Amino acid sequence: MNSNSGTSPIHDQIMQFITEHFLQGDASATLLPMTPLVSGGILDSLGVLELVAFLESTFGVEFEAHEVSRDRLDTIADIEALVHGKIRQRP
Amino acid sequence: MRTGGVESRVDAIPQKASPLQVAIVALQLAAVCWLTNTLRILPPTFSRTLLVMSVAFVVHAILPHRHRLPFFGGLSLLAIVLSLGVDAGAAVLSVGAAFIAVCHLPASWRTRIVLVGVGVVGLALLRLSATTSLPATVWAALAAMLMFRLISYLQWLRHATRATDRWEALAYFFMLPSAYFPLFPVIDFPTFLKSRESSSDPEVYERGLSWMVRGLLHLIAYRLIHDVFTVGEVWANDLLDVVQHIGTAFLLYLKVSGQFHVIVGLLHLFGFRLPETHHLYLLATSFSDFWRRINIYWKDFMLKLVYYPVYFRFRHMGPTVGIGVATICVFVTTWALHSYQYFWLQGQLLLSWSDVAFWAVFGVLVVASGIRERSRSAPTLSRTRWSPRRALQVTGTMAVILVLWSLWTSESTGTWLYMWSMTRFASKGDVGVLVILLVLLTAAAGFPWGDQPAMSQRSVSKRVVVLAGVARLALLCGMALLTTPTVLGWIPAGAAKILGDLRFDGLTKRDEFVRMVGYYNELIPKRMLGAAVVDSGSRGPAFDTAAGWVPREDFLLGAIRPSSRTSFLGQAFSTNRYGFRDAEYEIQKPEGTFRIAIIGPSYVMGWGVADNETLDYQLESLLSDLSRTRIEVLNISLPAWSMAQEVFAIKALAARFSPDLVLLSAHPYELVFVAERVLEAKRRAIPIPDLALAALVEQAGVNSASTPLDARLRMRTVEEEWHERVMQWALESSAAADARVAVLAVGLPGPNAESTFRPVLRGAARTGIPVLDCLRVFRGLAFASVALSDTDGHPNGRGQALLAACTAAELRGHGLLPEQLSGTAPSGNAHNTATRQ
Repeated sequence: MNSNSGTSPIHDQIMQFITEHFLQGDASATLLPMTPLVSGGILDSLGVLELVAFLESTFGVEFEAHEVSRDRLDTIADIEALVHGKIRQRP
Repeated sequence: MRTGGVESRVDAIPQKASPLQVAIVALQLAAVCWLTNTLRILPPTFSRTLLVMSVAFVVHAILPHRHRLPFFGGLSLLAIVLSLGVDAGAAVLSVGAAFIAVCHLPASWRTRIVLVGVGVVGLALLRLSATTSLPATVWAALAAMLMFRLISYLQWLRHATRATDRWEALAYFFMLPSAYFPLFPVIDFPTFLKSRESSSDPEVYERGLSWMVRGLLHLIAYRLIHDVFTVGEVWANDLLDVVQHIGTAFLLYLKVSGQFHVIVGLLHLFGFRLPETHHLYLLATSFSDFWRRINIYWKDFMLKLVYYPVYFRFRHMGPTVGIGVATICVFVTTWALHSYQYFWLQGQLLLSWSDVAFWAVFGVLVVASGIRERSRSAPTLSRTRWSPRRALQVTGTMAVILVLWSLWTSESTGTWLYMWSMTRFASKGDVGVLVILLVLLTAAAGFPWGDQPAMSQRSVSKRVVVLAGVARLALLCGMALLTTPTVLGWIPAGAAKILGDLRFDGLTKRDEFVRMVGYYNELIPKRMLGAAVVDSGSRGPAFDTAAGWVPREDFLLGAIRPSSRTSFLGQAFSTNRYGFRDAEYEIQKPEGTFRIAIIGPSYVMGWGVADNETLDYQLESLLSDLSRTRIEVLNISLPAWSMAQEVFAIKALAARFSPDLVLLSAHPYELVFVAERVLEAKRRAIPIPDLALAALVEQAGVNSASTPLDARLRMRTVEEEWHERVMQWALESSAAADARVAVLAVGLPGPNAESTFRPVLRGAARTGIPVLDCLRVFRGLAFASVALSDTDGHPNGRGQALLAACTAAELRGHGLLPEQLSGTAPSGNAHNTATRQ
């Protein structure tokens, strides 16, 4: 796994999930917070659904259909911000 | 500022490019402009505006970031006026602005949806109205701007957490260069906004230019495939033709992918770092992979609009059900929206069985493929090594896609099925060629071409910008130079022919006769293809008026007014007292004279050339220079005659002149002429004089109510028998006239499919009639040097001279001239040309 030092647990968990599931655990793949996941060809539509299922089950948040899009889920930073926002909005 | 994603970073300041970097990019844009103007591979108005855009790019690059979007928006508005003119441009801008205003009315989202819907229905009624005075260009521009962008914009407004800047809306809806391209990538509004977040101008420019060049290469490949390699399904005569048709029908999509690359590449130069539109779609490893790679923007649009909402609604029933239902909905919507798009661009709905069949079968294949991928039972393909599994997957997937695509682009399901019946004509050599081709393609497909994921945005150094810029400049200028007449003169004839064809964007006979009716070709207006008026096997009113065509109530169907002195296409056009475009001859053949009657369609008549440039005139002069025997060549011709009329003319016109040799002339698209003349005879209730031919027409089912296309397809079913009988009839008729007979096969200037001659040649071979082979007489020569004009492939004076020389050589080669000419040709000219007019 290629997490940067000083990152949040959410960031690390997302990065670990993506590396294991979509990069076949390839440690040589330099996955950065701004690496384009969807437009870069790492996540396809099925991959996005798997990622959403993972986020919902791991962080106890719920996604709506309009939130599942390239502009919101294209980088780990985007995903992390989205999850943080949802956690903050939780009652 | 907002919840994640788009809204939080729109004001990020990008790293600006240095003056040198900007200058290099501007130079490359100018080179793109030169190349596209030279090859005319983009809409002409767009190519001309590219130069303006080069200057606009420089201004944009030096502007402070906050002024860039207004500048781009203003430029987009200006481009609409430049492209469409003031009146049409104002109409487009007004309608677009009205819709934007409705989107922002202080009402609920649902109310605004209803109001927009009412507006769309109103426009649709106007589109259908026969009385509307709006030109097609206005509808094309409105369609490009509003069809899908309204949907994306409204969808964004529903969940937006901030107001839209007016320049954002204007720049999005009137986005440059929408006005020039009716088929425009469906750019998602949030993606459009987010694309401005890039942190580095040089990196964005570099990516944009590389995509523009890639797009130009796609368009050049498209031109080459369209003009040189395409075989229309109605013209496929054997297994190789069928395979060639299937391959080229799909590759014509390069026009769409090429234009999309150029469009998105250009948007990069104005700061929009948009995603890739296509990704190596010829290398898809499954049907769902193909869906993901081809027209990525459409796939994303469908994901957002249909797939995810449906999936979320059904996922409680399990992911497999959710994915299955969502994918089916995507394909039903895609089919409906393609028809919707067709309506806005063409003014009518697209409802055809081949269209329904294509989307239904493709949808089922993608659903199955998606569910299979979800099970992930198969190991992941290596992204670094050659893989036999990838090789087989790519070959299998693409083979099915190509077959499906050929169905989608076929004129009708019946035509498509008939094409497949032609695969019964296959030699062992043909099968061998196909096997070798398949093995090579499969082997190449096994490599992981471009499969490595993009892990980060590249940081681009000044050195890279300069080097890449110089390399691209060299490539662009080199391609433009390669097709200039001077350079074409230096290189081998075969290569010069292909490169010369790249420059030619006028109408070729083939554009019409081998027309592809595919979805995308239909949607790109003729003006975009650079095509002009089409000729589909008829003479046209201009000829009828100028030459004084008069109807005949026999199978010749018509004749030219005798003893006329007129002008046609700016050239002297004279006929003798028999109505031949020829000198005056006595019916009684002079003693010791060898007479050749050359009977044929327009190119034999001398369409568009002067009286002293026609094939018969030049052939007579040529043969007379080589012989002591008096030689006369009679020109008995009428535009659009099929060979059946020519054979009938042996008895009806030629026989009384006692010819020693009759030359019948085959046209590259003989079947079109056969169908047109049979239909004309049927409609005018003129009997076909040969009973066997009449029986074939009955068997084919052509009647007076048939359409030209229907007649062509029906005659196609008896084509082999027809040509064989025509040849047999020619033997009988010429024997009755005490003459020998031969067939002159001519490949006219421009791209001709030699395969279209095959049925005629097979008929000649079966009956033992010699064929004078002039199929390649214009090969290797620039179109403009041997054709009448950019849009008329009839031979000009030089072309007729080359044809005469070829005919003379072939006559000698076949021993068809008098004995003294078949041996060593004596010098001198004993021919008296005094009778020539």
